[in-house]
Amino acid sequence: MTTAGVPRPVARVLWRVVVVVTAGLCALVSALPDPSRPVVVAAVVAVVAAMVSTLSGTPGWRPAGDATVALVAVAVLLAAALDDSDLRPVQVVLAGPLVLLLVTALDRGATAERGEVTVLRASAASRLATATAATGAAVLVSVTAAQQVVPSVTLVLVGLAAAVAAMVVATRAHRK
Amino acid sequence: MTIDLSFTPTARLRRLALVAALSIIGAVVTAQGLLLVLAVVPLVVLVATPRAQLPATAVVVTRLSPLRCVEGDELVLELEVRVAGADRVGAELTLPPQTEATFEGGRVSAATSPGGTATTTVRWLLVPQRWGRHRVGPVQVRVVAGGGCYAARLRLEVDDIVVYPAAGALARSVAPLELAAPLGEHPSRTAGSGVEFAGVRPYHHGDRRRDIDWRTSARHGGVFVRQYADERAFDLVLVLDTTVDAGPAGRSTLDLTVRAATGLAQTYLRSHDRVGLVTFGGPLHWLSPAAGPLQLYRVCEALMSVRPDQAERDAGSVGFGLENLPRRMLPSRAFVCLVTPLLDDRPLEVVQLLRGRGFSPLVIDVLTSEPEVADRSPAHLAVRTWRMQREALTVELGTLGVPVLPWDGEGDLTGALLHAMRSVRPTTRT
Repeated sequence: MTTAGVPRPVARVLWRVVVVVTAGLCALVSALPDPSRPVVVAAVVAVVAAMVSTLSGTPGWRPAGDATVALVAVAVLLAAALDDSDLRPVQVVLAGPLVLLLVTALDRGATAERGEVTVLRASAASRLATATAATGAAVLVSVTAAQQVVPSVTLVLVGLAAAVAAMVVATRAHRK
Repeated sequence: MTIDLSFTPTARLRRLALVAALSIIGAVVTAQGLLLVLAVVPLVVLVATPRAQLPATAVVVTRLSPLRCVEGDELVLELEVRVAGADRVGAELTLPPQTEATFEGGRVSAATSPGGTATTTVRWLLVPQRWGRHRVGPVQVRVVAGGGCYAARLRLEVDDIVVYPAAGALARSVAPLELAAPLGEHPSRTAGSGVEFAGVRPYHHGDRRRDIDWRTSARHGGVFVRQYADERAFDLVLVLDTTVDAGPAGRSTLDLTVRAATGLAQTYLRSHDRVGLVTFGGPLHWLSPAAGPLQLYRVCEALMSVRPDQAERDAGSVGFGLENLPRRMLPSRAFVCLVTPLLDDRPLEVVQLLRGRGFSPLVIDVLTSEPEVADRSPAHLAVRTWRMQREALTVELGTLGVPVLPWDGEGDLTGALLHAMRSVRPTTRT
């Protein structure tokens, strides 16, 4: 059996390149400006995972993609936890949309591998609106987190409670 | 057709949740608020695209036309999708073997109704390259919604198509001189009431005055009349050897056999001859000779089901079936055309049987390819031996007075067929 719409080598190659480049940018963001050994290791492993996910094709795409996203997130979080330079909040904010782009690229890459043709697509504005709002919210949280305030247990607890509440709200939104 | 959508979470949802969870766990473990920044983007995306907003139904329609065509014709498959609130709809079409498909990208018609539901129609152009009954589809439609976090799959059955073989082999119908059936289009050797000039003869009492050839009469000093060839039809019986199907797909021996049979049947039925069909190799099938356009459809339908049958091949002799063909299947003075790849001794056996029943068959050889083997290998020797066996078979057929015409699926057999038809001599019927 053959499928219509394939071969689409351009789409396949394009999304594979996007996956590797995005993972590389995330690694770059997490490694600069003061690279520490665990962060470098996590970043390199993340890039390798991205390359494996692009080369493994359809069967290996999903688990390798999951590993790529997890390793990229771990590299960024390790960098944020181990380095407290002034540049770091900007880099973490930048990492947010990059991770979103990486997830999107993995998704589109899997679609291109299947040989699906696009019949209908929502407008670009509606697709970008959520990502833009999410980036704005990340900037807001970053600015708030960067404020010079006296650390207190209450403040930390409030922050963590807000994060957990956001997680709970997100979970409820996706419950059947 | 309205279909209820059943959504399942995608890898995107899992990955966004993973990033958010890792960030929050990291923030809790290290007590650093900065780590929460990475959780914000996935959390906002997840909150902004709740499951409650997923579309419940989709209207999906497939249309395929025409459902009957000839090899190389174009079919159009249309897919109409109407779904509210979907981020993306993808489609994957499963095609029958040897069918080329071109996706006519973009949207043929896209309109937005007042309710905000987009209707899109897309088309595929399908070109089936091989005869037979094929199933087009299914079309797997994937509706992605909720910011790409959910996907629903639909499986749409399309339709079955009948692809008739492309007719080949003959540009025009030719016939032997000895024709039995009256009322046809082929000028015969006997004088009659046709339109083709056959000669002049002295006037006899009762001849029509308008047939008098005045020029000849003036030249010879007597009255002469023009004679015309009688126009008659003839019976063509196609005997197809479907024992094996060798060669590349699309140009295999079975493909060429079927195309040659279709071409011959089409050409002769157009000139009001009667055409019959016998296939052996699989189960023995026959179609009594008949004329008219309906017979062409009968022949084509019969050809749709010809397939090699291993059990029949292993059974050995084909004589039993052919010997017991009903008499009306092989009318006297019918012209029998055996289409075969000449890959074993069965064609010789069939020819001997037919000659035993008083027919002088013609053989059309449809084998166009040979096994490809390296020089100096043991297989090369086997191929040489096989080639010599085929030559010996051809020579043996020649000694029986049976012409063998090779046909590669491209050429025109008109000239060779005419020569062969005029050269064969009928045998004594037993």
